[in-house]
Amino acid sequence: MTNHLGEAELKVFIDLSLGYFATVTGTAAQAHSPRIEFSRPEFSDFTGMVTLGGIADGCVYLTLGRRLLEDLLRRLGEPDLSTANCLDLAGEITNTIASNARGHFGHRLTISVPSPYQRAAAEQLPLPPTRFVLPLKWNNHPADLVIALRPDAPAPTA
Amino acid sequence: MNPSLENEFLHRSAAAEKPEPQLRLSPLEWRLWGAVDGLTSLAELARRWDLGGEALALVAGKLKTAGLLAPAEFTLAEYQAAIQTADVPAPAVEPAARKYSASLKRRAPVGTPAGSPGTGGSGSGSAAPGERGLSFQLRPLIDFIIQQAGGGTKGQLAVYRVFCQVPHELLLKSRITSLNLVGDNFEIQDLALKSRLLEATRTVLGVDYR
Repeated sequence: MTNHLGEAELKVFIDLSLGYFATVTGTAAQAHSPRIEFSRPEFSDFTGMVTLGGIADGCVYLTLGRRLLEDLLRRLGEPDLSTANCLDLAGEITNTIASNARGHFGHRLTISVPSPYQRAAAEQLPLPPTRFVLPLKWNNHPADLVIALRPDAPAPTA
Repeated sequence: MNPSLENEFLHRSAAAEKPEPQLRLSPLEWRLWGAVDGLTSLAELARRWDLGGEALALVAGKLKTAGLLAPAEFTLAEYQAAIQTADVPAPAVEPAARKYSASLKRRAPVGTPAGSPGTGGSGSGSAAPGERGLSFQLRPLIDFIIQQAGGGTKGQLAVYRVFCQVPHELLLKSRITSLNLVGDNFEIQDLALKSRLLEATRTVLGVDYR
């Protein structure tokens, strides 16, 4: 039994992530050549993550540096650039992407409520080892969108 | 970026694999200590972390002096596999698709045995001369998957779906830690890995790669 998310469906997460930056900030994020990684994952300062269930088993996360989030907070008119606000924003970005993804997939794919993590906490998470990493750059700040699926998932019931 | 950093590959020294509990390092020093794998250049780490190469070189120098990190050593084949891709900057998504298309045009038809004339496999890769008949090149398989899936991001995602089906330990046994670190002429020696890759390709794409 394999994951039942095809390429076009996985690409939805990429399009939604790129769409977030363009829509919310008016400045598009650039996508660079993706990597497929099998080694220990690396995280930036803050990570927003959703777990997937149903027709796929794994997670999708966006890991971003503090400078990107501070820049984004300023764009959003938020003067408080504290760690707590950066963490909230990492979760909020992922929440927006997850909400739109739920609208796309409906009940076929279960998408969890997003969880925000700082680097040390993210590094403790047991994640699938094979990851699709899409490097993004928004306003000259790097970030990574990561899709990490487990090889086996339950078959669709409907 | 300091060009010499492109050739600076480090790994944790044997003595430092389990650091003393009282060892104190800065966050960046710990980050570098945790990230080195002997296959990723300092220049690549600096790019990933959006840091100046000189700053990272200073940190690396300190950890080397302290005996925590040591320069990685390679066989010629491993060096060629690592250094080929370390020199290549990351292109944007669409140019990457074009690069793969161009790569496909340069190659012999898919299915040509590795090491045959026209595959571009002679003179590099990890196979010993007598083992070429048993190995096969990874890059043509990746190109095949990308082409079958329509190229571009979808093609890359199809490659990801295939590799998701391959047991992690088989990839690490062949020292494949990232597809970006695999040189154009990397040849798979492990028959179990080859078999699982072909099976996964069939499962994901519904076609056989011969």
